[in-house]
Amino acid sequence: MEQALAIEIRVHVAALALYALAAGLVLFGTTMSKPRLTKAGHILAQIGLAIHTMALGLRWYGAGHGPYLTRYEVLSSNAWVTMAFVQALRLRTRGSEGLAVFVYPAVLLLLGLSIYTGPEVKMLPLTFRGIWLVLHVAFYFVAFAAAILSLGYGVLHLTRGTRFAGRLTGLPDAAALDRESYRFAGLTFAFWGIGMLTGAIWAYYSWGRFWGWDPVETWSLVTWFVYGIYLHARRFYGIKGRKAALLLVFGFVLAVISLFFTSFLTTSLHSEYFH
Amino acid sequence: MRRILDSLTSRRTSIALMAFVAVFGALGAWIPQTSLGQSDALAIWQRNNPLMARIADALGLYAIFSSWWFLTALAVFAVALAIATVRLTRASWRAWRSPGRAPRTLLQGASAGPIVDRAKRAGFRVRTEAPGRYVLDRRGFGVWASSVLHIGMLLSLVWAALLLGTTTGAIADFSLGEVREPGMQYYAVEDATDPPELGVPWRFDGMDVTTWSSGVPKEVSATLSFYDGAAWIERTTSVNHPLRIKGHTIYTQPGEFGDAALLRIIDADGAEHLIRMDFYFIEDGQPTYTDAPYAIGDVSIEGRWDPNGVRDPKPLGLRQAGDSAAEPVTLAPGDTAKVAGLTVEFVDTAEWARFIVQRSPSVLPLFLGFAIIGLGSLMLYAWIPRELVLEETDGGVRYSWHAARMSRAYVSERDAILGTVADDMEER
Repeated sequence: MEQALAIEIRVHVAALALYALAAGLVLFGTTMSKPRLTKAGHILAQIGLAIHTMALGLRWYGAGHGPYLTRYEVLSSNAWVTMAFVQALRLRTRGSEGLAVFVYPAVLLLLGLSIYTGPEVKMLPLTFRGIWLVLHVAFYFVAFAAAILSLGYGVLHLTRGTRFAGRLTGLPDAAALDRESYRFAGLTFAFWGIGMLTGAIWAYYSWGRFWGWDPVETWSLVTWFVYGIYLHARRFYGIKGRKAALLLVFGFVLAVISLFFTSFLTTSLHSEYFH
Repeated sequence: MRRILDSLTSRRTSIALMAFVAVFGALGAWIPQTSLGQSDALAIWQRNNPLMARIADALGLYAIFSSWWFLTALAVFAVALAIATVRLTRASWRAWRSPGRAPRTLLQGASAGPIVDRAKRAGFRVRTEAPGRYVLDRRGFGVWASSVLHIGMLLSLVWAALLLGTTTGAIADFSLGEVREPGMQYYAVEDATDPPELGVPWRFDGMDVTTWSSGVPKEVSATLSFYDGAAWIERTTSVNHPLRIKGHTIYTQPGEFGDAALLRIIDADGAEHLIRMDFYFIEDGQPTYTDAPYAIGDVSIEGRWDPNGVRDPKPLGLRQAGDSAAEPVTLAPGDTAKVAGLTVEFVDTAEWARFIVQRSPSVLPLFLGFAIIGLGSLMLYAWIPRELVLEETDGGVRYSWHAARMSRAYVSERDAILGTVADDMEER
């Protein structure tokens, strides 16, 4: 097990290097209209994803629990789910190629931060053992990946008309970017909500209460409400385009605060998580 | 009256209430709340943020989640949600039962047959409303998505309020083998006038702890026995797996168990005191200490528990509380010694544990509400109902296309079915 952990960090660094190359090639290829470079970047990202999968597998084996406790594990898992998501999307949906310009650097940042925080292993606290916790965390991973994709489309929409966007090739038109950001915000809302509810079930079985206005719970609810307000604003009040994208950026900032900052509040029951 | 009700239950009000709950929820997460038992954290926060503390004090932001205005906002939100749910359900029913939309756009020279075939291959269901008029739909059940989501939210909110309003809790403290008879006092209760009560004797029969190699507990379970009038029935409860029995739920608490020393103490006046001195479970094998002094008359003592003999071969160490310079007097079971003027006999060791006991209605409707929310959320995203209505005319085929919620998201699907790309086509 210790051997697995010793190898795992090196495999993680290898995945990081491949993601860095992939992000560089895709950015360069897209802005300089070099489709072969862009394609090479995507291939490197896929190889990086395979290696990243191995790294997480080794971590799981070495730590004796899933990669969802320490900052290292959580950020790496978030990076993995986001990369897997965008690769699946590229296979399935036309016009999603351009999203890599935003998502690959985001994944690089997540994995870089993960490795920067250090691979210290922590034992799983007693209350963290159970299927509801695994589901709770897994749904939040998917929700956060969807939020990154949604933000990516939103930011690309916001940059439309700027000199930077003018150099990007292979991006859908502004209306399609706006629509896709809406679609993924819907997915974020769905999975964030389910993540919160599975968390409530976990809390009920662990502590005998399903809701306690814990800071992490409350911020999570706030984030969910803001995504709910965004969806209502789009569907019923016709808000779209730039205004909608800005609201989405605000929702994403709340999501980041909720997932990565509120657990540092000492009064939180989640203080074992992400430390 | 109707206008007030309408404005209170409008969509705009619901959004405003969501924003209100979000803003004050965020504030409540940032400012420690007395209503959540965070008084110590609040004192530190007030010291570190004097200006904000004055503002928060003036606005009454130290007990947001139990304040009348926050609870009123939640109640109005629940009413708005209930009315929105009724409205959405009626709208979904109408959409579900409505005939296909009137076809408007003409595809010149086209015939319905090949379009219907392509639609079938794409997974659409075909309904012939009249000769030459076809209604094709896919994922038609998706019209219920918003309604399902709101029904789930309403059920969850109502049941959560019911649970919060009716659940009573207490902490039961046990020594190994101790029987708790109905009506006996609890270690702590939430509401002394209405504590939970199983109505039968029950007994603590021991903890089972497995640990990681570091000594940290991996799994903790407790064996409890309940007397049903004829025999003792043994049941097990563990962390994350509470025991549901006789309308009550019993939780094993991580960390709320350990060893104890049973002491008989004679004070300076000759009075006898029987004490159970508790020590929390030792994770790393190192000595552990009492978390608070034990007062015996005017004297307070504190203890050290060292069953692995790290500091001393005798497991129990005692000294006067606060006298950190003094070396503890150590005892083994059966020993008697003088500690701070008290005569202390270490009678025996024991195991102790504390359990949360809750009386509450079943939580299942709440979880059913959660499941419905999950289903509705996924339906909203993944179950977009599409409808294509075709009507054969002399010049070709007239059609209408509708994809709910995701305007223009299914244009390529529509074009593939119609076998054409027409710029004049617009979705509603």
